[in-house]
Order: sequence, then C-alpha cells, then structure tokens
Amino acid sequence: MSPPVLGIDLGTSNSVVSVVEANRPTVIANQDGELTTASCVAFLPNGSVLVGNPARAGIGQRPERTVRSSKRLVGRTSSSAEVQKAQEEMSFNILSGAHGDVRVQIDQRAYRLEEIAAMILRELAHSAASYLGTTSVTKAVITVPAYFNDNQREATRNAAMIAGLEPLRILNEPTAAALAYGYGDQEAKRVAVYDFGGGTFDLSVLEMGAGVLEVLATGGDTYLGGDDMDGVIVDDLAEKILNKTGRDPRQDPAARAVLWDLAETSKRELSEHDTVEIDLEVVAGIPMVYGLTRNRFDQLIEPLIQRSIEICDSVLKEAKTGTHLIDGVVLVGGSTRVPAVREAVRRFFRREPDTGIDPDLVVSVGAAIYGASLNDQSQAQQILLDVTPLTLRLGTVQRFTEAIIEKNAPIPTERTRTFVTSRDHQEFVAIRVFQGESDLQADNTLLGEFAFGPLTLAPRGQVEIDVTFEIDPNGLVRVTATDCQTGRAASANVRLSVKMNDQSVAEASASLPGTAR
Amino acid sequence: MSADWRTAVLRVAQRLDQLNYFQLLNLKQDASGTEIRGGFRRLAQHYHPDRLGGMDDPELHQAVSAIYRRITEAYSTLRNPITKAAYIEGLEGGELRLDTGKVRSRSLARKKAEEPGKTEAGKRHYQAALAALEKGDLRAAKSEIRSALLFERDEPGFQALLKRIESG
Ligand SMILES: Nc1ncnc2c1ncn2[C@@H]1O[C@H](COP(=O)(O)OP(=O)(O)OP(=O)(O)O)[C@@H](O)[C@H]1O
Repeated sequence: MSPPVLGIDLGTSNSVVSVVEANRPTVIANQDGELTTASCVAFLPNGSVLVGNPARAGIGQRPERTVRSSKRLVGRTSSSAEVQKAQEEMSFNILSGAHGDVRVQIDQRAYRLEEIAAMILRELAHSAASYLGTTSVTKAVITVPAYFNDNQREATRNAAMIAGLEPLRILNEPTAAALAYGYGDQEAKRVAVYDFGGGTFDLSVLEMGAGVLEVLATGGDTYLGGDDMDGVIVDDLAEKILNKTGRDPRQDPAARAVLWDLAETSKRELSEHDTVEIDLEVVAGIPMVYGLTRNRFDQLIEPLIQRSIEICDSVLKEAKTGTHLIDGVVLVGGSTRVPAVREAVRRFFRREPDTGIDPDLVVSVGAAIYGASLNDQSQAQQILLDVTPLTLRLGTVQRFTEAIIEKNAPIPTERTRTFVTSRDHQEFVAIRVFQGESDLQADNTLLGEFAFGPLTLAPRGQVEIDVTFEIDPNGLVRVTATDCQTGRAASANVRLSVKMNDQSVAEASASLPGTAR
Repeated sequence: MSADWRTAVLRVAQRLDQLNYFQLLNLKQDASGTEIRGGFRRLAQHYHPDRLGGMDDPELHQAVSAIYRRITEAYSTLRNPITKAAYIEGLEGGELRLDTGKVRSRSLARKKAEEPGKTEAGKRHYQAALAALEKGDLRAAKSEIRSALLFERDEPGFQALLKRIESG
C-alpha cells in the first residue's frame, strides 16, 4: 500500500490537516490536541521558532516578531495594494526582494513568504506523522482559494517543497468542500459553495453526480472577508472614543492593535449573543464601556454582505443557472458563523444551507478525500472537472492585453498562438503573460516575461514561432515555444517574475530554521 | 483498467493532431450548446487524467494528459460563439486548432464599430486620448479625454476611460 496522502487546508488564520484511513477521513489534532493550528510563526529573540497556537498566544508580547495572515501576502508583489495595506496593519517588518517579491524581516534575515508557509506546513506534517506513527508521509493535497492566481499557486507549491512535502495537487478550497460533503454519490445535483473566510470571499457553482464533479463557475473578491467586518467595528469604536475624548485611537499603532483585537472578539461574541459589552478603557484612557448590539453590527456589515450576494448573482449568471436550480448550499469559512450572513444566504438561495460538517474543517477533509482518490493504484473513483478562475492574457502593444484562455475554462487545458518575427534577423521573441479581467496590462497580475530563442535567423515575417499556453490540473501556467521552421523547442528565459526558481527552493529547504516543540 | 483501453488511448494520442475539434468531441458542426457540453462530459469521463489515479505508467499518463488538454481546448472554443465562429472560419482554411490571435482581429473589428461618442469632436479627442495612452503619455491622455468630456459630458465610454487613466 502506498503511504497516505495528507489533505491540508493552509488558511489565512488557521490551518487543518486530515487523512483518509480505512476509507474514512480523520482530522488530525496537533501536539496540543487541537484540530486547528494557527497560521502563525513566531521568531523568539533567542533564535528559536514557534509555530501554530503557541505562536499566536504570544503575539501580544512580540507583535513585531510574530508573522500572521501571511497567506494574504504570498505570491504577491511588494507594490501591490494588498501588500501596501498589510504593511499598515501588521506589526512585522515587510521588505521588497530583488524582483519585487515580498520578504518578512526578522533580525538579520529576510524570509520569503514561501518559507513562512513552509514552517506551518512542516508543523502540520509533523502532527500527521506522529499521529500515523510513520515518517513516510510526504505527499499532500494542499488547498488554495479558487481565486488564487498562478503566482500564488506556485508559491504555495514551492512552500510545500521547502517543507519536504510532495504537493500531489493544489486543489481549490470550494471544490474540496464539495467533495467533503460527498454529493458525488447520488444523482446529479447542483451545489453552491459559499466561502466567507478571513480575508477573501468566493462562490463556486458545481455539478456533482455519478463520480463526476464539475465546477461550472467560480468567482469572488480577494478583498472581502471577516477582516473587513473587524474593520467596520474598529471604525465604529474609534468614532465613539473620538467623540468622547477628542482623540482618534486609530492614530496610535498600539491602540489600534488592541481595537482590532477587541473588534474580532466582539464579532465572535455577537454570533452567539444579541449584545456585547466592550470595555474600551485601555484604549480611551478613561473608564468607558460600549454596548454593541447585533442589530447595530448587522447594519454595519450590511454592505459587506450585500457585496457577497452580488458576487453570488454574477457567478450564477456565469454558470448559466439560477437559484431555483440549486440543490444545495455549502457554507465554508469562519465568517459564515455570523447569523446575518446565514440569513442573507438563506434568503438569496431560498433554502437552508448545509452545515453538517464544521466549516473550519470541511476543506481539509475534502482535500484528504481527493488525495486518497489520486493515490489509488487501481483507478480513481472521482473525476474532477475544475476550471481556471482568471483569464490568461498576453501583453500586446503598449499597455494592452489579449485574452488567451478565458476564465472558467476547464483545466487542464492549452492554447497555441503563432507569432511572426517583426524585425530582420530577430533572435528572440519576448512575451509577457498576465492573469486578470482587464484589457489593460496594469490592471492584471503579471505572471512573467519570457524571451524565446535563439530563433532561425531570417528576414522579418519569415520566422514563425508557436507559443503554447498551458494550464495544468493545479491551475499552474506554463508557457513553451517552438520554432516552426526547425520544429525545435525554443528555450525560455524568464526575465521578470516573483516566483522562486528550483535552485532557490532547494536552498530554502536546506536552510529552513528548525521549530521548537 | 484494460489493456484494450490503453491501446485505444495511445492510438488517439497519436492521431490527435489530425483531428479537428468536432471530430475530437464527436459532434456535428451545427451542434447545440447542450450537445457540445454533453460531448465534452462524455469524453472527459473517458480521458480524464484523474482516472489513472496513482497508476505507474508514464507513457499512458502523458497520452491521457495530451488528449484531455485538447478536449478542454476544443470544448472551451466551441462553447463560446465568438471563438466558435473564428474556429470554423480557420477550419475552412484547413486549420485544425484555433490560433487565438485570429479571435483578436475579429473582436477588434467588432470593437471599432462600437467606439463610444456621438459628436465628431468628442470622438476625435477620445481617439487622441487612446493614442496618448498607447504611447504611455498619461498626462496627454488625461487632457484629451477631459476635452472629449467637454463635448459629451455624459458619455459613459469617455467617463470610463477617464476613470481608468486617473486610477493609473
Ligand atoms: N464565531 C464566529 N463568528 C464570526 N466570525 C468568526 C467566528 N469564528 C471565526 N470567525 C471569523 O472567520 C474568519 C476566519 O475564517 P477562516 O478561518 O475560515 O478563514 P481563513 O481560511 O483563515 O481565511 P481565508 O479563507 O480568507 O483564507 C476571521 O475573520 C474570524 O474572525
């Protein structure tokens, strides 16, 4: 029997690992006996590293030495809006690497986000190995938000390799969630997966039946999540304090951190209770208690919920379906615990959502189920027809782009495009590849700039090059070229990319600091 | 998985470059959207790489993967009326696969006809703004589109371009 495959949900706030044993999925507890492990890494002054819940527990004492929510930064460029925003919100030091990649500086070392993620993955693999009583767990299916682009998927895959895991598949979170519910056993059903997490929102529409799971459409917003709910509470509290004391606590980093913490805790309270008493004295400097009601909270977050519903509407349209054709709604992500969110989902889909499996664990469970099926030596039972979430584009003249593979196209897939040389004796043809939904280059994510060559030397217009754009089952993009004259594959020179190359992955793997346990 | 199936798969993989999308998906050229989707699903079940699971047979894996990528290429091309039309046009010239560059020239032609603006002056400034934008001269682009808006204050196409320029 081949060694088991881990199903890993590498989340923004929490991560979970599961495995299928004797045909049954099991969520594996960490060293402390907890099923979820905080996606936190703390670097202590004495050089040792803490990962998971112990790291999060100490965040108050060493905010600048604790890296949290690193998933929001992974695979992004340092100039991106998300990274700029994170720089304001987070206490650790964010730097820009040589190619615009993001680094986290702790003492003298600038860690890549892939290395931070690798430490979390290694911790989960460690828990799994001690649970299974084996050292041979090396394969894993790792989930990412459906909306992740190629850079983010590649970074996640590299993180796994740095952690010493073989990433068998990068799987979309909503797809994993649907697999966990195992709708595939019955006759064809349409299912909507509503995933409202910490930093992102997405909705996917899937059709499941007779061993086939087909993703019809997926869409979302990478800037919409539970963090935004915390944000509106922070603003509400700050206004109250400002009115009373004349000082805006948001100006002071320490006070702001406390406010965010208070906001998040209060939000969770409001999922259970109608009102929460928030003691603001530490922030306001004077005795002050504010009673936040669920009604008020619901009002504050109404625009956020509304935005998620608008996305539902447009994804259903793209899937060429309507709410009356949906047979089930699956809730994923911590923010779906908010009663107003559930109510909005219920109203929009006109049905009771499925909550049979804990929304925090469902993704990891589905990943483990899929991992087991991929690992099956005989024949996998489940066939997955997934799609690419973003349009793959080619940079054209000046600042424009041309679509090569449309979003929601089934993957794996490929397209070719023929280029002719535009200059006499042209040696190379350079292409820039993007992902996104805009005609303008600047509004899309740059995946890389490739130079293909050397080409056959000839007058302009005489040399044709076939460039093939490929998206693999992981959603990863590959670009190759052949010189049509010689039939020879032209090698690619990646000139611009935030991705790590194989060599730096190997180096990072060798030098990953050990974790204190 | 049977040996027959393996042989059949390898044979299809070999002939892949001689099949057009309709032949590959087993469809007539006038197939409806539902038929196209049905054709895709039927073939997907047959050739999906996941079917191989952890089977240790690199040659078969490679063949199945090549076939499946071509099936998805065919399906996404045919389900979209614009790319389908471009494909049929190319097919008449003997091209079995769609070169995405062909779709672009068609859609550009379509866009030309839909260029925004009603007044001559408005359209002229709009074009000048686009040209400046192509050259990377944001300032000139902005001033041109502002001029265009002087003539047609409510033209959504003009407003959209200004917004795009202003957001960098
Ligand atoms: N009981 C609760 N009530 C309200 N919100 C909650 C509750 N529990 C958790 N959350 C919120 O859920 C969010 C975290 O959700 P989850 O752990 O699913 O996200 P993630 O997977 O880490 O993030 P993402 O899906 O964006 O990658 C946080 O914003 C958290 O405050």
